[in-house]
Amino acid sequence: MTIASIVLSTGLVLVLMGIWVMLTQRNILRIIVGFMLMGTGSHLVIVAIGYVSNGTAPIIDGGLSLAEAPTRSVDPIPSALAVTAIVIGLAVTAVMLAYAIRLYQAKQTLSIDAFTDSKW
Amino acid sequence: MAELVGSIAILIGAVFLFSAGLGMLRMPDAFTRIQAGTKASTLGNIMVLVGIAFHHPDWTLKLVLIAYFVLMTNPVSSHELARAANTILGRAAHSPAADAQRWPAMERDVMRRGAAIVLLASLGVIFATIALNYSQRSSLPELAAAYLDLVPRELGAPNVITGILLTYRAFDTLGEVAVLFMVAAGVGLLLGAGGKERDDVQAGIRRSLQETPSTEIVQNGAKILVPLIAIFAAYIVMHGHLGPGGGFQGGAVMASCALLLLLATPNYRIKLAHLNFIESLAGLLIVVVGIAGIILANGFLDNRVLPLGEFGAFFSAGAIPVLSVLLGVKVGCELSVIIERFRA
Repeated sequence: MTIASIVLSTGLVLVLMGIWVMLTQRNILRIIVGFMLMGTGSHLVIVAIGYVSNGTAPIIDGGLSLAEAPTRSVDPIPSALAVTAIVIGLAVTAVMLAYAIRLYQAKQTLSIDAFTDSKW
Repeated sequence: MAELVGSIAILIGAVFLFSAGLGMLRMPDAFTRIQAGTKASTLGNIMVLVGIAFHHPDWTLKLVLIAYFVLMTNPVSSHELARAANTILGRAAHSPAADAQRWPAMERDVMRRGAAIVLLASLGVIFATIALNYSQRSSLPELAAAYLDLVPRELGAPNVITGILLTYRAFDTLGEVAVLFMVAAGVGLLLGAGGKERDDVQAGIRRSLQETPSTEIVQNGAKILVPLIAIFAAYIVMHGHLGPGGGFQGGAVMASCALLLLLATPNYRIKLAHLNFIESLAGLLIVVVGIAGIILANGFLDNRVLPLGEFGAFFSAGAIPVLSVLLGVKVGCELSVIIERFRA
């Protein structure tokens, strides 16, 4: 097992767990937790793809000189993507929680089964 | 020898952290889960920190600071969680039996569960194929190598990721901040507008806040932690070009400071107008720096409007630290606005 494949499998398992929670739970808050779990898993997948054997953080300092940066560093692009993904994930979660509050105010319950208005 | 002791300490810490996770899964209600999550994870975290101290003795001071932070934050947060659980749920309402009664559909709906299992199994097969066929990369792709070469040489920033985020892809970062702004506005729209029902709920929350203001633990914790967290946030923001950190991360830490203050003084209203003004000003200044890039350097948000300075120095990498500070202020304000909107 390489480091990248361990992190990759962990991320994929988290994604699966998140989908499972979203599909089986009836509480809107738990569905949101499932979504966040899936998001965390996808961040791990992104980071795992950027890992290079024996790589270190792409920061030039005492531990990584300028000359050896292209050979001893991990791919910086997935890391930059992960920062973006975390911020957008947070934004989506905030909107979902706001909707959850509104839905609770409408029906006084957080069970998704109560919201049958647009169900077919 | 020291390494062996350190590794054993980390292993013990890992066992405690594992038991914290196990407790979260197996404990019956909110209160016992909070206890498992806090106690075991505090001990686990500190054992891991002790282990790291054996591996890197020169980091000891920083690790002691982190341990102090863990010891201060964990009791305050768990206390506040338990209090919230107590006020919202009431002790009797949240037993496993009551839970099962409230969510009956989930266990019994065999059809839906079966469909979910089939879907997950097929997804699992696809994922397993991907994971098993993935081989770890041994060299960098060309684009990554180019960034690793260009960011230190052209932009003078030791942290390549910050260089990408704040110069080469700074336009995307600007868009991302705009998304955060839209979320702050959207959450305000969703939670701010409301009929009589909403007013009733708000009045209820306000009444309960007046009856039970925050406890001494949270107030004293906030007094000790808020200055520390603020300094930490400023440090993260200011060192974004030199090490791990930057505007988003520091801004998020700053917003956690606002959250702690709100928990400690629940009757205090944050002045949203001030936050919005500071946030808009920071956004405007980011665009001004960007336009300065068109005039003085090679393009929008080019960091070479300011001298690059000495590589690795605090004042270096051109406009990147300036952009980082503006971004930190903007993100901190936006997240604080979101937190304030959720409160009531």
